[in-house]
Amino acid sequence: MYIYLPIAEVSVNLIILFGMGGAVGILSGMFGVGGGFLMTPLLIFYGIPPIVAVATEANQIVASSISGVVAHWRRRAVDFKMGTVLLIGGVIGSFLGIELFALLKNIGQIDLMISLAYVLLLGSIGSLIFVEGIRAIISKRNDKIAQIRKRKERTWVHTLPFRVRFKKSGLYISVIPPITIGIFVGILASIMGVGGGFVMVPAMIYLLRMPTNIVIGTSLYQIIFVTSLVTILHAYENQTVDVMLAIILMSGGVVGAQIGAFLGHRLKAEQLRFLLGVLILAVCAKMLIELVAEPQNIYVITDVL
Amino acid sequence: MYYNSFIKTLIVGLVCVGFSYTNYASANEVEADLVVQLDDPHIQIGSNFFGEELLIFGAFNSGDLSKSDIIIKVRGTSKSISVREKVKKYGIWVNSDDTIIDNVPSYYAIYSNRNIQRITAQDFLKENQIGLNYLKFISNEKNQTPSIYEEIIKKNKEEGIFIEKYTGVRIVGDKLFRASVQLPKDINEGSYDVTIYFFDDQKLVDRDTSRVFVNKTLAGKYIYTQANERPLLYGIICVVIAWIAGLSVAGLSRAR
Repeated sequence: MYIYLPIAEVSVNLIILFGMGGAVGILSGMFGVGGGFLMTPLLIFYGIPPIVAVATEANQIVASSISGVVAHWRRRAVDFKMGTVLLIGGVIGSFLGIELFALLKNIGQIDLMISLAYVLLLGSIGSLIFVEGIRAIISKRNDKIAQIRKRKERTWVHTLPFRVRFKKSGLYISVIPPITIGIFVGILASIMGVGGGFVMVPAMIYLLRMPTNIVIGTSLYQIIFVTSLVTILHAYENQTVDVMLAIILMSGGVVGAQIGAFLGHRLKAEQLRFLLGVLILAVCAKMLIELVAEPQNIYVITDVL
Repeated sequence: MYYNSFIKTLIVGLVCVGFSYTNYASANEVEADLVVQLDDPHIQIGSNFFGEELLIFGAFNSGDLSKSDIIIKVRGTSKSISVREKVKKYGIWVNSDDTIIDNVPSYYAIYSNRNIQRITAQDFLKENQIGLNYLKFISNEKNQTPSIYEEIIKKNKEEGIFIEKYTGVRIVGDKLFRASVQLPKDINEGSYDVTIYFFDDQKLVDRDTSRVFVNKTLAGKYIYTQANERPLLYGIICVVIAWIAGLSVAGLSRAR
């Protein structure tokens, strides 16, 4: 069953796309990751132009993050003040990212940049998750008691100026680190079509020392608004948001996330986590091969408008 | 799909019979040397478009059938394309600066009943840009463009946008021909010029020119127009759709 995507200007198999949305949805339901960092490369492998894949995936993440944040909000596990500071950085980063995107597009290097960013990003998170997964399996086997991290320990982050009190997180820290994190995530969102939770969550835990239970909710809160803005900016600057594609991915993702949440309660996450690591590394390897291997077509041909 | 092509074949059959009938009825008073009929001059690309065939059929007034030839040329609007060569830098393949090539057809098909080189003189083919080798591209750079031209032709052939089919025209009986020209699924919107050349003993006897329009219909066209003409509003609507989708999913999971 084929459907013509009006913005991507290709005909695609509806079942395959729906399945891709579903499969990534299962993973995000199981692991609590957004899935943008897997979905965008899959769309590119399938033949969607990279610039359309990035912009449209940002649009899909808006939907999946909203459905995710509500549960955290009900449990009062969102630090809105911290989220808003991260968002201010995110807005700045989005505008910077879109500018960079337009610049690279004009000099014909945007596809290369997207691939490079993905190889770097997938390579690092893939290895982290992989190592973490193996360590979790080993430590469980040895029956070690997990070490409790000393949260109140002071680091260089706590010596910077412009300190603000974040009641919910129980922190009194400078706004510079969260704004910087926000900017970085905003740039990632606009160039790669990802939410950036996989960068923001560790940064919030290890750098800002936020309590773990409110980290996910707070990052989702920021992601909703940043990806909303990125979607609008891409639509406005590049006309690359394909609403048809977004709707297919959203519906696939919804079904997948439900299945994933169901499976997640029943399967051992530690063991599956390193499978996720393997999967991410595989996608990374494919991207890397395409960059390094002799290209099939030595000429890149595009229309001039 | 099968049903569709069956109906088309049936129509062609009936029309052919009709043509033959009129020809037999007035065998000595056929005025035109070439009569052409297009199956459907308006082609719509809906959201489930996966390629279409343009059916062309007609009659010619042949003296000696073994020396009669038909060439059909279908050409889309011309466009400019940018070509970048990939070069290896620091171990990865990156794009070099681009060369702009103008006058590249968005679609180009040659259908004939035998090798066009044997149908008529090369000069005529060149002059009328009949045949992939005779397409006249325009470039601002002189260096190494022939290899770029070859690459453009190769790529477009692979995608079914450039077609050269020397067996594409079927001669039926002694004065009828038919061809079904393949339009690929990723075809551009716009007008397509269809020229049919009728040769007798290597000499052009008659030519017929007509035009086919390809339109994107329904949601596809509407979305494309909105995205390009009202990009800000379009972007906001995309976000609103995502918000509604996200909130309703959250609502559903709460209800359970």
